[in-house]
Amino acid sequence: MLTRRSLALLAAGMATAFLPASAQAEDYFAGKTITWVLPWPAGSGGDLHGRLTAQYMEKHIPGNPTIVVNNKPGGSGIIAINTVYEQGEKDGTTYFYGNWSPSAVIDEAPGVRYVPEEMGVVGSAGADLAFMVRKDQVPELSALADADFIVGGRGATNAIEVLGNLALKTLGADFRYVGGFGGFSKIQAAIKADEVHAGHAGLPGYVKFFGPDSDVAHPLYYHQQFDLDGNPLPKPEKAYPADVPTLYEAHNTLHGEAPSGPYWEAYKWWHMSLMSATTAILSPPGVDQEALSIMQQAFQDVAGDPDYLADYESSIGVPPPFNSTEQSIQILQTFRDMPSEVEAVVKEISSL
Amino acid sequence: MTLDAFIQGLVLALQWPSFGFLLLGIVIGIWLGAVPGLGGIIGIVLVLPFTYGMDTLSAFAILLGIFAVTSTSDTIASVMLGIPGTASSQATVLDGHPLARKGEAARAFGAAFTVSAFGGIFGAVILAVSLPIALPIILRFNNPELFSLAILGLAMVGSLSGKSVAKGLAAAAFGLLLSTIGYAQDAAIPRYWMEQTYLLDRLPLIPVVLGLFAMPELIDLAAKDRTIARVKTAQASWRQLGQGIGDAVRNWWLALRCSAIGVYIGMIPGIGGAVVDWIAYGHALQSTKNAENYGKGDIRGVIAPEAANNAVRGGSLIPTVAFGIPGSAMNALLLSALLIQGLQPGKPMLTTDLPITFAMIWNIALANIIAAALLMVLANQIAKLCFVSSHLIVQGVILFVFMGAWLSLSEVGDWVTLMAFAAIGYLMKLGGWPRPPVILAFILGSLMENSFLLSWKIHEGLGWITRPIVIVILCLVVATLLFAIRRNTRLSQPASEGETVASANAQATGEEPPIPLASLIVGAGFLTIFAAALLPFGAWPTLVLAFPLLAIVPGILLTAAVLGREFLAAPDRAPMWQELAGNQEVRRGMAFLGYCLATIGLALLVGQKIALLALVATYLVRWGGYGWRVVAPYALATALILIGFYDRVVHVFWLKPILADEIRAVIPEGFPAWLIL
Repeated sequence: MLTRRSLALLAAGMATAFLPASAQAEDYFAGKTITWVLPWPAGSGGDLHGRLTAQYMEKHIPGNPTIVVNNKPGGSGIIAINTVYEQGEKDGTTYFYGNWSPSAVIDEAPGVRYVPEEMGVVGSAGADLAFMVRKDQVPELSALADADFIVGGRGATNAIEVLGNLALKTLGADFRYVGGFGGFSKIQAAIKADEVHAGHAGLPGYVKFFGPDSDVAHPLYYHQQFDLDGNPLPKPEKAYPADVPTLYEAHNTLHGEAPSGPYWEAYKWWHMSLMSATTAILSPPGVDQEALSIMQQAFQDVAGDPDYLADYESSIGVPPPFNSTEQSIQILQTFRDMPSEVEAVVKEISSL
Repeated sequence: MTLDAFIQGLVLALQWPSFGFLLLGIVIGIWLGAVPGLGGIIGIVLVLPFTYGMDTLSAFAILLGIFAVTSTSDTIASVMLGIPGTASSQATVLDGHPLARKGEAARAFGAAFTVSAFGGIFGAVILAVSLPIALPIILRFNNPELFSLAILGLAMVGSLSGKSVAKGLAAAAFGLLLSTIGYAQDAAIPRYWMEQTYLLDRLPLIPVVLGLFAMPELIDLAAKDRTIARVKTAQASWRQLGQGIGDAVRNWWLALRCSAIGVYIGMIPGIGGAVVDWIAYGHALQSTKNAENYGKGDIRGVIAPEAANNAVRGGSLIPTVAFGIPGSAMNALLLSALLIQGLQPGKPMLTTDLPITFAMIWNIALANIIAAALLMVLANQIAKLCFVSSHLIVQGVILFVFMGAWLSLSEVGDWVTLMAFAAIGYLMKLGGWPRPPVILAFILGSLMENSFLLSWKIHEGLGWITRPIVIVILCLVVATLLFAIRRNTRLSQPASEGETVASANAQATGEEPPIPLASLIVGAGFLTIFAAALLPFGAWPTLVLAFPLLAIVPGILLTAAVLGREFLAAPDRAPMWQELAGNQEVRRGMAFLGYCLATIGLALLVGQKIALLALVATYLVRWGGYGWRVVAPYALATALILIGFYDRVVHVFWLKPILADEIRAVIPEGFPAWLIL
C-alpha cells in the first residue's frame, strides 16, 4: 500500500518529471561542479559504468557542468548512500550513484540510516541476469530436470541470489547452493575450475568471463524484464545467443505449461519490485526541484544517446535496461510493500 | 609462428606513439609506487578513461608501464623510511631499512633495482613460455589449496620476521582477529562493528599499514632529532650503488629462484602479491648460508623479495590474459582494458591476437629495464636524503601518510584507524614485537576464512585436506616452523658466533633493545583484546564465530606464554616504569602523536587543507626550529600537492568541516572555496 507521504512524493516527482524543458533554467548548472558518490572502489565494474555515465551526463546537462566521481566504498555500500542522504548539498550538486540495497532497507540491516523514499530520484536501471551452468553438467535445458549440481553464489540473502534461486525452484531443479563467493569474478573462477557447476550471472559478468564462445559454460535461460504492469519486455539486443530462452519459456519447455505457484509469484514480485531498479541515481532529501528535473531529463537523454550506448557496449558490455523517470520514482516508493506470502517464500530461499 | 609473433610484438612495442605512452606510464608508475598509500591501482583507474579513444597498443603501453614498475619504486619508501610502499614490499623493509640506517641505502637500491629489472624480465619471459601450460596449474589451485597457501604465508612471516616465534605467531593471531571485523563471510551478521558504519566491511588496509609501519618510523625520526642514517658521513654513493649491483650479480642464483617463486605464485589468482615477498624471503633465509644477519641489513634479504615482487606481475597476467581470471584489482582493471579495446581474453589472445599479447609482454620487460635504469640514476640523490635532518623528511612524508589513509574510504574513521594503529605500532616497535605478521594475517584473514568455509561447504567437511597439493603445502608449513624454532634456538645461545655478529650489526644499524615494559603493555593489550573478542560469541551461529575463535584461542595461549616468560625474566621490575616513562625520546614521540591528533581536531573544525598546512608549518617552526626561508617553500609545496594533486587530479572527497558555512561566509565573493575547504 502506498502511504500518504509516498503518494505526495510520487506526485511531486512525477510533476517535476513532466515539466517542459523551457521551464528549466538553461544555465542552472553552468560553471558548477556536481559530485557523484559511488559505493564501489575505484576500478571496479560499477565504478567504470558510473564514470562513463557521468561523462555523458556532463554533455547532456544544460550548462555542461563538471561531474566529479568520488568513490566511498565500505559498509557494504551503505556509507556512500548515508553520506549523500545526510550530508549532500541541497542545491542539486551531490548525488548517489549505485546499488541502493532495497532488501537491506526492508530488513533494517545494521548501519542503514537513509530512507530511499525521501531521496530525489534522477533515474534508475535494472540488471539483466542469466543462469550460467557448466556444459558438461547440464548440456541442454532438458537435462536440467535430472541434473544434480552445485550452484556457487554470493550468499543466499543477496538480492541476485534470491531471484536466481527462486527461478531454479520455479523450474523444480535439484541443486545444492554454496554461498559465500564475494562476487561473480570468484564464482566464474570456481565454475571454470569445476569446484561448483553453476552461478547466477549479471550480463556484464557473462560477457566478461564467458561470452557466447565459451567451451566451459553457457547461459541456460535468462531473466526477462517486465514493465510497470507486469508485461514481459523483449530480450535485449545482443545480450544472449538467440536460442537462450526466458525463464518462462524454459518452464514451458521442461514442464509443458506456464510457470505458476508461490515460487513463481515471489519471483515476479522480487523481479519487478526490487531487481528492476538495482542501480539508481539519488539526490539528498529536499533537493532543489529545478535541479532535479534537469538531471532527470539529462539521464533520460543519456540513456537514449547512441554514442553512450556504443561506448557502454565496447567498454563494459550490453547496457542495462534503463527505466523511465516515472518508473524509477514508482519503484523507489513501493518497494517495501512485500505481500506476506512472498515474504514467507523469500525467507525460505534466503536460508538455503 | 610463435617466433614471428614474438618479434612482431617487439616491433609493435617500440612503435611510436605507443613507446612514448610506455615512458609516460613508467614515470607515473614510479611516482605512485614511491609515495606510501598511493600504488598502481589509483594510477590505472585515473588513466583508464583516457584509453577509451586510444589505439590498443598505446592504451596497453601506458597501463602496463604503470602496472609493471610500482613494485620497483616502492623499494624507496621501504628502504629509506621502513614503510612498505605497497603490500608487496613488506619483506624488503626487514633488511632494506637497516641498510639505510647503516648509511648503505644506495647499496640496497643498487641491488634492489637490478633484481627488480631481472625479476620483471624473467616474469615476462616465463609469461611468454608458460601461456600454453598454465591452465592446469591455475585450475588446480581451488579453495583448499588457497587456504593452505595462506597458512604457509602466515607461517613464513610469523616465524621469520622477529626473534621470537611465539611473538610472531601471536602478532599473526592479532592480525587474523582484525580481519574478522565487519560482515561475516557466511551470514549478514557484522562482527565487532561497535555500531560504526565504518566498520561494517573489513577495516581498510592502507590506514592500518601506514599506522603500523609509517607512523612509528616518523615518530622515531621526529623524536630522535637525527638523520635516517646512524652513521655521520655519507659514503661514496656511486661506489655503493656499484656494490649493490655486484651483490645482485653475485647472488644471481638466489634472484633466479625467487623470480621463479614470484612468477608461479603470481599465477595463482587472489593471493600472489601479498605473500610472495614473504615466501621468497623465507626461502632465502632457509636456503642460504650464514643467515645470522638477516633482519639486520643482509643484502640477500633485499634481493629475494625484490626479485619476486616484480616477477609476480608477469605471472599474474597469465590467468588474466589467457583465461579471463583476474587475480587482483589491478589485473581486473587490465581485463576491463582488454574488453574496452575489443579483445577477448582466452584463445584469441594466444592465436589471432598473439602479437598483441607479445607486445604486452615486451612492454612489461621494457618497463622494468627502463624503470630500473631511471631509478639507478636517481638512487644517489634519494640515498643522500639519509643524511638530511629528519625534520625535513618527516614533514615531506606525513602529508602523504595522512592523505594516503584518507583515500581509503574518505571518512574520519580512516584517520582514527591511522592514529590507533600508530599507537599500537609504536608500542610494538618499542617492545620488540614484529609488525609484519599483523599486516599479512590481516590481508590474508578474509581470504583464509572465505576459502576455508567454501572448502568446508563444497566438500561437505574436511575431506579436502588429503588433496595432494594441500598435503605438500602443509608439509612446507611444518618445515618452516621447525626451521624457525631451530634458528631462534641457535641464535639465542650465549656467545654464539651468530650473536656476536648480530650484536655488532645491531650497533651499526642503531637498532635499540626492546623496552620490557612496552613489550608487556603490548602483550597485555593483545590479551585483553582477545578476551574481549569472545564477548559477542553468544549471539553468533557456529560458522560466524568459527574463524575468530581460530585466531583467539592460539592468540591467548601464545600471548600468555610470551607475557609469562618476559615477566619472569625481568630481573628487577621496579625500574621498568622509569625506563619507559623517563625515556625522553618516548615522551617526544608522544608529543608528536599529540600534534597529529591536534591536526585531526583542527581538520574537523576548519577542513583538512588548512589543518595539514598548519601541521607542516607548525612542526617545522617548533620542532625543527626553521625560519620562513624553509617554512615558506615547504608550505607552498604542501598546498600545491593538496590542491594541485589530491583535489584537482584525484578529486578527493574532503571532510565537510564544522565551520564550513562560517568560512564560506568570510571568503570574498569570487574566491574559489575549493582552495581552502
